Amino acid sequence: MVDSIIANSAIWILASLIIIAPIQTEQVSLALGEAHDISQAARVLREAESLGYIDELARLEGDRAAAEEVMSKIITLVPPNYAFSLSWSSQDGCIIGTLGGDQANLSHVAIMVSTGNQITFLDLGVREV
Amino acid sequence: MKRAYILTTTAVAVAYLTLLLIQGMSEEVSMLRELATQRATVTKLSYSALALADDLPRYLRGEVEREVLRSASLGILPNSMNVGTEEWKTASCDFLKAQGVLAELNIGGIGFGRTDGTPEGALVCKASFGYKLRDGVYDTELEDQRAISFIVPIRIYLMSDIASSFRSSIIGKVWRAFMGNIATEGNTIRRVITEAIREYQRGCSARGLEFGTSVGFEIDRGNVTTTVHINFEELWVTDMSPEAEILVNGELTRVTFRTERKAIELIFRNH
Repeated sequence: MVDSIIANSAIWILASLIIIAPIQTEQVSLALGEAHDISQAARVLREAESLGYIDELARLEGDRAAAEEVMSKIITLVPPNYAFSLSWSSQDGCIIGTLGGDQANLSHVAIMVSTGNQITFLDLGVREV
Repeated sequence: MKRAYILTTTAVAVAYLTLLLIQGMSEEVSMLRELATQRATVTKLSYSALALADDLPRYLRGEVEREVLRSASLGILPNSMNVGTEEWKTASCDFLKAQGVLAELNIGGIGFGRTDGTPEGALVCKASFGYKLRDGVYDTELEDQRAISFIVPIRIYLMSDIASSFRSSIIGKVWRAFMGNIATEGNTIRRVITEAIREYQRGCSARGLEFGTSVGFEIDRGNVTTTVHINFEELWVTDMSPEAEILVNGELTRVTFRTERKAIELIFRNH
């Protein structure tokens, strides 16, 4: 009887752990994944700044085609196994240029880009796939 | 009876142990999740600070270029008091607030100076940038003070030097001509002025500047004195170097230092 009680208890405890553990781990890995994606996006924008791409973009506010070329150069800095979206918009929310696909589930990092004429915002969203 | 008691006690103990385990796991997991979120927060604060420090010189440069363009058109040197930062500060605070970051920004000590090296006589802008960023959820704070310095490659100081030295050079030449010979002819003065203008145009051209002006004069010969009226017409110096082009309302523009016309009189006593 003692054996069956011990076995039964162990099964209950194990069952509880088996049910709860994946849920908890998934939550943690989601949070860690998001933190990692944010740091990746921030790294890409830092690198773009150090390579002069952001300054270049700021000078091309009126030239949409040239601006999209510079935005493409920024996108080349995103690791290949990442989904991305890059959006450049004005203070009133008008989109100046955009690259990339579906913005859902991406971790976003945005920076200010003063162009001389106005203050604009560059938003990079990434997610490891 | 004894068996029922053992079964109940065991069931309660197992349930309690299971609860403790789950709670412990949850706490650990919550802590891990919080750590991950805090890591994201710290990343957000640090990239926000770096991005602000990168964008401020871009914004200031646009403001300084506008001030240089304005002052050059009036023939005066730019004044750092005319450079505003309120728009940028407000936009930055709003932008960060939307991301859950509270910001206190302080931009001070904006000053202009002249470059020591190349481009010769261009403008150096210096400012200090202090920031205190606080995450609205975790109260994580990031505070720092940075010195900002950048060159606006428009040779505004050199253009101003050229404009003022040209006029004093003409006055000096005319002065010397009449002090040497009070009967100096108008043709001689005309030649002196033409040569001085050409000399300045050559000098400017060699430095990538364009120089233009005209100078008129009249000589009144009286019994006691000879008066030379010199009319300096509008003078302009344009920086033609490719780096000196600035974007104004989406169009590339060159800065021209322009001084207004001015008349002076030189009076010499006849011997």
